[in-house]
Amino acid sequence: MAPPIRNKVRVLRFGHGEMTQADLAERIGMTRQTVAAIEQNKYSPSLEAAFRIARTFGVGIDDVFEWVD
Amino acid sequence: MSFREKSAWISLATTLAVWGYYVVALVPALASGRPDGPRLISLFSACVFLLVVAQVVLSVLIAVHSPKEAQAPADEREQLIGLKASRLAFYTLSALAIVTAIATRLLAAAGPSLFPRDPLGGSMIVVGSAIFFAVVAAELVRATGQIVYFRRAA
Repeated sequence: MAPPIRNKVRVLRFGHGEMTQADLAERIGMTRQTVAAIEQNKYSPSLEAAFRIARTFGVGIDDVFEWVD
Repeated sequence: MSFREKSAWISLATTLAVWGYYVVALVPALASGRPDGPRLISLFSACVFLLVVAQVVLSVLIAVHSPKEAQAPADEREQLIGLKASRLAFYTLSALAIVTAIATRLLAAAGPSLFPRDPLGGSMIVVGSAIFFAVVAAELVRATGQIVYFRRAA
């Protein structure tokens, strides 16, 4: 079952010079496969990883992740 | 496919191949009716050596193919997958250890029928093999679990 969290990682990547999954993965210390899993909502990152992603894009964590009821 | 998923495939394939060969190679010992201790120990040692060499060589090959990934520590998702798979392996080993403990009498009784010319040695081999294959089964579950979790993404 997919976690009830949606994210805009893919959109933000494209908004930041079409950053690749591999580039983002390298910046946040994860594998490309984990970034892909996050984008597909198959994996919910830890709070620390979520902050790292948000900081990479220069936005708040709420701008990247949202809880879906 | 990530470096660690490839490693899980290597573990699964080499464990199946080497211990599968070990079981096939045991058949002549069963046919003779007498366990040849030194030969069995040599066979077992050779299989352990072969397993280690195969896993090291294959791991080096995939590391050469993707050196950056090989050097990077496991990320949080990979660590979680490793823990989940290890938990499955622990349950498997625990269950098989309990079954083996309960069935020791039956296993020991099977020894003399399999090795009529050395009943005591036969019993020891059957019980020892049951314990060892519980460990092998746990490793197969661990590697398979990792692959399944990697395929499912988490």
